[in-house]
Amino acid sequence: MTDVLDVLRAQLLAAERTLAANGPPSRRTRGRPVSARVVLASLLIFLGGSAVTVATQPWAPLLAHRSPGAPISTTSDTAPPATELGLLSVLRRAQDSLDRSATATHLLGLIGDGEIGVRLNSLRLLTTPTGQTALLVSLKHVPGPMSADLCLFFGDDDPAHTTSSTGVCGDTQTLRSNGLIANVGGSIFGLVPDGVSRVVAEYIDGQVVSSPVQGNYFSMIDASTNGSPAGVTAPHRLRWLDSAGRAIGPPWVG
Amino acid sequence: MRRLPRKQTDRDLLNASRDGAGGFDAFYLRHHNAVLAYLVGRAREPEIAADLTAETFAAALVAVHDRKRGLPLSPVAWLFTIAHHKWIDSLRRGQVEDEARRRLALEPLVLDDDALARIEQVASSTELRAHLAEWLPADQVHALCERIVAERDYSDIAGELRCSQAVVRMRVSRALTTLRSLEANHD
Repeated sequence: MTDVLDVLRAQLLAAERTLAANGPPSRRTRGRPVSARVVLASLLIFLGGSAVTVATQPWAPLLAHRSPGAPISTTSDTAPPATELGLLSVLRRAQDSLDRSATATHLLGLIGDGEIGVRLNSLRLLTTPTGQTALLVSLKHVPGPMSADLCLFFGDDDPAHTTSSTGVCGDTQTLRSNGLIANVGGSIFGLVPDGVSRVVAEYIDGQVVSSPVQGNYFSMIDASTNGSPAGVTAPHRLRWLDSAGRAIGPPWVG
Repeated sequence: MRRLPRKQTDRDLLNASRDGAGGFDAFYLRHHNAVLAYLVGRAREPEIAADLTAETFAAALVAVHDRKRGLPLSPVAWLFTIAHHKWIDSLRRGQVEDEARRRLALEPLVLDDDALARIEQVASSTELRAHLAEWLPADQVHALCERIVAERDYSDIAGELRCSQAVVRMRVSRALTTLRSLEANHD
């Protein structure tokens, strides 16, 4: 069943992105003759042209370099590998102005020194239904035991907290097996593959908490820090549900 | 590890939306059920309520991105005021206006039986009082909910609260005055 409220939400989200790119629509356009060329151009913008526009513009935000003598992080113009694109629809959409917004730039500043091959054109700003944001970063693959191809960083607007970061990193195998999940500061958040519409956390005392997934990202209150009986700690199990409420993982079997 | 970001206020979300950093989606997710529930209660027909909800949020989004207008001091009150006006306008015109949706090029909602059932389910399971409580004092919230939302008589409410009808009328009046002042501040 298609939820009509989700349909409206998707329409509003597309409209917001268009407004962010083009400014508010004019009330006076109604009834005014418009050429076919203008109609076509407007249609292209509405169907995603705004995102294409920013993706083709040069962008060179500064990466963090906090420690003198530490390796400087580097960028890469390459596209994410097919394995990442195949798992994450949020990477398959075009980069748009929100992905390059001040919030995204702020979160980009949380990346530590020495990251290799930060794909600036593949940065994605993710937002939870409660308004929390995170930055998805695809990194050029570097063989080794500490290899991390995908990272999720999040922070707040407080400049006092820009010198360290909360994030979770892993490779696509980790994403398939468990998702990139962190349990920090009273919340559980993370990145999950395509097809996961809801993440459910089950606790050993029977509590169940769930969160919708938006753009492969979710965030929920950790019930073990929310008035739970003493002794209840991390969730006993996380389950992934599809849009029909069926359990589909983890691990991801798509 | 750092602490998680604080929960953004509605004004934070609307400011972020205006600045091109998103935010309206989260604002919609916070309040769409309550707005829908309110409009189902007014319009009595889920089809009309769905159209009114769409037009309400479309109008809000247009207003947020109109830099000539200030952002509302109380976004929840502002949102419900828009919803209320959309409903009143629909009564006057005999149809739900679609100006904001047309300006944003939103497609008409397709409402099948499942969608209508979903709307009624959302309306019946949503607690309006919790939303109203975010922007009005408790006594005014109660009076307003009972009178406007539940459509109870003043005498019934007064009996429950063990106060005079005049007191209930005063609380409702104050609540509505607060609404109007918030609306005036926005305009």
